[in-house]
Amino acid sequence: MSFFKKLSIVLAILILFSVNVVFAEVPYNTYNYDDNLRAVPSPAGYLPEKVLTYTEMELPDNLNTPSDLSFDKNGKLYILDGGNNRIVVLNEQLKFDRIISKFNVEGKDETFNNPKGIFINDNGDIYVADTGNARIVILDNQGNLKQIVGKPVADIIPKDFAYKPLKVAVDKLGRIFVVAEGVVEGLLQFNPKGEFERYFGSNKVSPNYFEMFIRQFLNRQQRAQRILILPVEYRNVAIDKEGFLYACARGTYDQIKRLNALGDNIIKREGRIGDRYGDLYYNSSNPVVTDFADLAIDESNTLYALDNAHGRVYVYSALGDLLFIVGGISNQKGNSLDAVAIDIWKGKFYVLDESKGIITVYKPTDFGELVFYANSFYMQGKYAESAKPWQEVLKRDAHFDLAYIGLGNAYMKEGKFKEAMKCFKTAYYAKGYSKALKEYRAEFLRKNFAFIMNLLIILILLYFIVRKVLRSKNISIKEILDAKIRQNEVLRDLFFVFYIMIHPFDGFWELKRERKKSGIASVIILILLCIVTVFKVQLTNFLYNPFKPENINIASQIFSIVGPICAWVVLNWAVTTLFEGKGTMKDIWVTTVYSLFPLVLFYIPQIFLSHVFTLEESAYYSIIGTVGVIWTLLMMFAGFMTIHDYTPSKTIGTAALSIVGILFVMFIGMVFFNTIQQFGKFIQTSYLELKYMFQ
Amino acid sequence: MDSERKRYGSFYETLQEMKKNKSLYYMMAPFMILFLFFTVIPVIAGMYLSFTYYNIIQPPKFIGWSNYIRLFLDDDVFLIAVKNTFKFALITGPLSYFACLIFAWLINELKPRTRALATLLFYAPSLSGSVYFIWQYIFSPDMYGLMNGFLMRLGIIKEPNLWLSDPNLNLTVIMIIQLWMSLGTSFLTFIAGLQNVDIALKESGAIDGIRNRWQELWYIILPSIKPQLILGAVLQVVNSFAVSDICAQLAGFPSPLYSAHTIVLHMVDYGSIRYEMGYASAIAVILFFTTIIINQIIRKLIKPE
Repeated sequence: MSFFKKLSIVLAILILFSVNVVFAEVPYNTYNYDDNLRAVPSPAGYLPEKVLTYTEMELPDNLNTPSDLSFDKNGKLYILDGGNNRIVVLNEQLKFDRIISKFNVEGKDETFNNPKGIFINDNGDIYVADTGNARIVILDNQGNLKQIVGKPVADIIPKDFAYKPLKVAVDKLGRIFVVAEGVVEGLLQFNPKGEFERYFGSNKVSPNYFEMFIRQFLNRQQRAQRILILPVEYRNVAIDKEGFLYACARGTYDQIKRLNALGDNIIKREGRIGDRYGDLYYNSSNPVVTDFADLAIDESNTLYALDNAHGRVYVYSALGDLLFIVGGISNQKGNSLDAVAIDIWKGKFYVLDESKGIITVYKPTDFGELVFYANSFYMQGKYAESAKPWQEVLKRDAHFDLAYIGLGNAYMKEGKFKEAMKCFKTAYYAKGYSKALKEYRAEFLRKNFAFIMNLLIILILLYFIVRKVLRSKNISIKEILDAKIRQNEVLRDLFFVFYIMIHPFDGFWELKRERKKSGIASVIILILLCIVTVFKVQLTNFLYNPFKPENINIASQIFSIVGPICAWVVLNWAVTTLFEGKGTMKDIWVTTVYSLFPLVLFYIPQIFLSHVFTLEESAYYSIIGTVGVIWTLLMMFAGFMTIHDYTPSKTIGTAALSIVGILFVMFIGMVFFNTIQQFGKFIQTSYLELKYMFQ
Repeated sequence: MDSERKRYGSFYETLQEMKKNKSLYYMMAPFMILFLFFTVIPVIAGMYLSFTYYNIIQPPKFIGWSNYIRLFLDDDVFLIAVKNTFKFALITGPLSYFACLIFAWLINELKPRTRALATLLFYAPSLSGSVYFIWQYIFSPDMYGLMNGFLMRLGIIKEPNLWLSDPNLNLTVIMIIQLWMSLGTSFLTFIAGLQNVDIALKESGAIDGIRNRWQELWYIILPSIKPQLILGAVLQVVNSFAVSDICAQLAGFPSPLYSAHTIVLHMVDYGSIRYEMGYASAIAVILFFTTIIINQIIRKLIKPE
């Protein structure tokens, strides 16, 4: 056996073994959102590492509807075993340590009653929201009672208020924040002595002007009968390493808040998703609305939000970018049925499942760690250092838009604005692209401003000199061109459109009476319009382009221009014939197409300018388009008035009727085709029936 | 060919022509001298200064296009000022122009004595142009301000708006106030024009088939007051380009986040506060050319044919 053969066998064996590494399918969909906020598959950022059942934890008996969990600063895990009215403590190895089930109050042993929330502060004190007993119990690390905070007492709290504390958090100063059932005013804030201080961080109601207006005219009784508009109540509260409160509430936006001392929301949301969290859309295929049950925040302010409705954890960077989506609802390992609580310890996060009574531990994958690594540089503003890891990320997932944004920012920092533009464009990140474009433009202009201005002045001077010279020699370029154009009748009628644009009444009149070749010219204009609109979709910069060129079918696009025009011409002819319109079908066609010419004129600069304008200048961009449309409408108005010999009101009336007519024809068409289809189906079924009958 | 030579003759021939008509030149001289010293020379000096660094103390130093580069590329506040000024010019200007026209037309229909009174009333804002405090009272930022109190009573707003110091609101408020103030300027011109419309024209129009007041306005009155219309439009636009005082008085100078900054205020800032005369001249030159171009456009639009 030759050496090479031996080697190849050894290699083959090696390869066999290397393939044999543990390969676990991720038990849930891993995805992220692209620029259109559509879900796209993405490599898993986290994988379930292990599942802690009561045997795994070496507990004497099963957990019964556990409701919350929390790590203390030494890494001991406290599980609030609500159904058993006790706290289960696991040691650093996540094995059974001890159980706290009763505590001594003035010589008597007391127990919890259906507790819902637990919080461990830095001293190791345990705060338990003892829901059934309507109190917050504060125990020291050994389980001895330190204090009991009962029902809040204040003038603003009604006497019959049924106090049910659900969740609790304590800040660095010992102030206690409580989420209680049915409290819409915000978080209940207690001072360290346990006295109620105020409501904190109220959720706002957006004003309904109509409702407020209506209420002006109602008396007290009627007002009381209208629907109460209440702010949403908080579901959970957490505290980060800097001592800021995080709270989550139900809703479709602003569900997660970071509250400052005034109770204002100061969460960063520079990401493209803005103020929306969780699953970004819900439709028939995804009818469940995100419902955050718990939050956890790590040292780098990465936010882990647990969505109870989907059983998922959404991981957001400190800047509000969505990094990963983990988990799902099922009985499989790694998924949960009723995830209620989350906490983090040393990079892994722990999700508590209430109905299964287990804890699932999730560990970042290599990909996840890489993203975190790159993102940490990115958030410290070390954009240059973050470039390399972002490139690594892109090798694993070419769809990870955040990486492109990170790379783009790195380029921005280095002053390579052109490369930055490219990266931002790939990620369809308009804000960044606009910024890069602005810089690039300024850089370009700064280099060439003097040259451009000098050139401009020279050109203007040149223009005046040439004009002067030509005039002294009695030559007019305009006349020469006019003569050239006049030779060809089609060209002559084509260029007549410029005259019509400024003098629509006279122009359309002359077009109708004297210009014989306007039909051919109008076809040329229509072709121009088609070309320009196709270019507009294909070449407009993505900042201003609602379409993606690769998704657009040119043929259908052209049809979407020509189709409505034809429908309009036919229907307008039909309507105006009934209303004594003097215009023939050809007149209507020519007038319509000629009137569309301003669009051609205004779309062309728009296409060019879209590559020069940033987002801030979008107003100027859209003004150009608006002017084109208004001009077109005015021309149409004047044109139809002229060719049909109508009054203004009649023109508008017949136009409206034509549009109604188009809708009607569309409706009839739909009914017609539907009927044909039904009929076809009927024949088919009859045929099959007969066929089987005689078989 | 001969006539051509006369038109584009040599310098010598021109001099001959001038000598022939020298009395005319004498008659024009006083005005031409004043025009030269108060208009032409300052404009040219400003244009030259815009290419220099000039702080009044040291002699101006030629620096080429730098001022303009800085203005367009590095001065974000200038761009805000341009944006705000154009908002004034494109929204307030035309609105007040048409309001003036409509009011003038309506008031012209009144009896002479009522007309005089109404004219005075409409012109009052321009006469008492600097009574900003009325507006400060109306748009007072607390709940005792008229506007706040009114809106809160209606239940449209819940808490008082900081009308004049909220960067999102103050420009709109100032535009409304500017609209009120500029109502008078073109108004008098239009009234004067309307008074001079020949009644015979209206009568013959009625015979020729003018059916209603609108047709009369469109076919007879407007064409016959075209010079006044142009004057009014030019006045209106120039006024809106020169809006400055009212912004500084109502929103403060500089206004919060420069939300009510205008080009003229920017010029005042650099010219009489920072003494960067070259830079201020560059701003002035741009303003100058912008107004010229806009005036040309207006003249093209309302051409007396």
